[in-house]
Amino acid sequence: MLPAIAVSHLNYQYPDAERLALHDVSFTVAPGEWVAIIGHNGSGKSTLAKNLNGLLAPAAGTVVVGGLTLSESTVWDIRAKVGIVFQNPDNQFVGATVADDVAFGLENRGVPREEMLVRVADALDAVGMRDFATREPARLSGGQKQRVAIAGIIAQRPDIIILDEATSMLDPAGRTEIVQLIQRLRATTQLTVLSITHDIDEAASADRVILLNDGEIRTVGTPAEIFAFGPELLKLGLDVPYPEKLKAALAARGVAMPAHYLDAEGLGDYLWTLHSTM
Amino acid sequence: MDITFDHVSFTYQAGTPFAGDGLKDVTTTIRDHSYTAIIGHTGSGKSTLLQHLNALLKPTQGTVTIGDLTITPETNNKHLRPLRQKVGMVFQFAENQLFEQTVAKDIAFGPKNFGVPEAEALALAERMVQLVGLPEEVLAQSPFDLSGGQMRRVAIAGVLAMQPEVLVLDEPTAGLDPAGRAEMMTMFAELHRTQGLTIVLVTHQMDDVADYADSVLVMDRGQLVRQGTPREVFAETEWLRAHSLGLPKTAVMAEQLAARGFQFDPLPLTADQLADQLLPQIGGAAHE
Repeated sequence: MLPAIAVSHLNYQYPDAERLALHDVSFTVAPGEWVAIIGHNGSGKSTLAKNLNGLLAPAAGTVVVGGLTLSESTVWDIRAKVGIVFQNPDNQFVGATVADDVAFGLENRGVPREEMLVRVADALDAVGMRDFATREPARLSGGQKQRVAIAGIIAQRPDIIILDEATSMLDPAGRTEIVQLIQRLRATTQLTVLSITHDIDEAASADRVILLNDGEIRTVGTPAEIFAFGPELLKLGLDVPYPEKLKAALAARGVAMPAHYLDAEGLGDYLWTLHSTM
Repeated sequence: MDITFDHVSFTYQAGTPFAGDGLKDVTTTIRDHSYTAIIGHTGSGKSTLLQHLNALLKPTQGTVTIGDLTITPETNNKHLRPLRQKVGMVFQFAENQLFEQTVAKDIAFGPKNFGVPEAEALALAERMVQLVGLPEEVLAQSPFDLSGGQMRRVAIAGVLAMQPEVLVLDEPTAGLDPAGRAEMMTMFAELHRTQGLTIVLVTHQMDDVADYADSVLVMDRGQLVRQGTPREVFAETEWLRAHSLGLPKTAVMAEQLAARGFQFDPLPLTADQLADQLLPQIGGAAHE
């Protein structure tokens, strides 16, 4: 099957910058896959996202989206396939009501009114915001605003949705709301998800994780493989999942701990075994 | 300097059809040199409460006593100037308030406004830059050439330059990455310890409450519904869950382990406390 995204040997340099913001970045994302890109602030995550839909033009290398190689002649076709949800929900609203806002992108693309009404209603249903259709976006909570932003994207029926730190300005409840929404959308559609995040819990929901450090891919793996790095993640400016923190605290007290990643359940099992064999 | 709320209520747009409750009958004391966390949902009244700490808002009913100054519904704004210096406010995304050409000028702006001579204000800026952990070189730079985390530090330095006794922080780590968050929280703990600042922190991060605060206020629909030490407040796991307020990760883990048969007393709030209590229950370090 054709990959949803194939990036090879991508370099990017900001004007006037001394060093490359992205260096020799290569990876592929399969259709329907959820890939999380993690890394500290300034590691190149958002630069990468902007290279995927032509907001920035690579210095070298290629980006292929759904079989189309990104170039000046394909950029509009590619943007129709890729929707991006940005960090700050307040910076992406244009409509006076929630429904108007979701319709905005469709109007721009000249979608006929009858179809537009259906798509807006469907998209609001998908994100659980139909009851808010006539409300003013400014009066919604952060999590609700991001759900509306996501509705605006999925109304355009893209193949790929990029979440560029879309949960980083939300409170914990809002974050959970968005992660659960993405899980639900993936269960019911063929949507490919690329989430750029430094939230370790969001990354834990992905199929695969790409760890970016100083513009280069440090490693690629399943969440469990990445989390097994434990304290090294802290050195890379990231957080570690809670069970890894407790493991480290116990190891520091001389308790033998397994090297592989354990989730809360797994760590509980392990500790209970120690307790039972005391 | 203690800050005492005595039966404080605040109504937004009082006397109009749009009147809405911001605070309802809040009574509490934020002690001098304490590190107080305020938690609660968006819209629970946290920000309204914060704005009473330096009389940006005045109570509709009741009194707020800040040091030796008592704020009543009738208090005249003219007398509030000294207060604004004593209580420093760091709002959310404080870096949005930077505007000057250089970091030094931006930090010196506040003190100059309060009558400090320019040379003295710039000397103050130099000291504040050190205090927030930025290199001296940034003083001559434009604040807009710095990273987001550094810009936020400059904004905080600007508030510290007023030499306040109380530092009020409204979600100061929102939008920072984990390393930036940890550095920022360590910095506030240092300011609390070495400068004797009273800290009031509004946050959604329950782990920060567990790690740093000595006192917690829980707001819900304009009312102060719980107050106590982090241990007292987080011990009510069921109640917190019912209000979807969340718990420190350690408390959640301890609860899961308790369901298997482990025992914890008192409730551990940090990974180290949990590890200490687990040690004798898993055969200690000698277990092989």
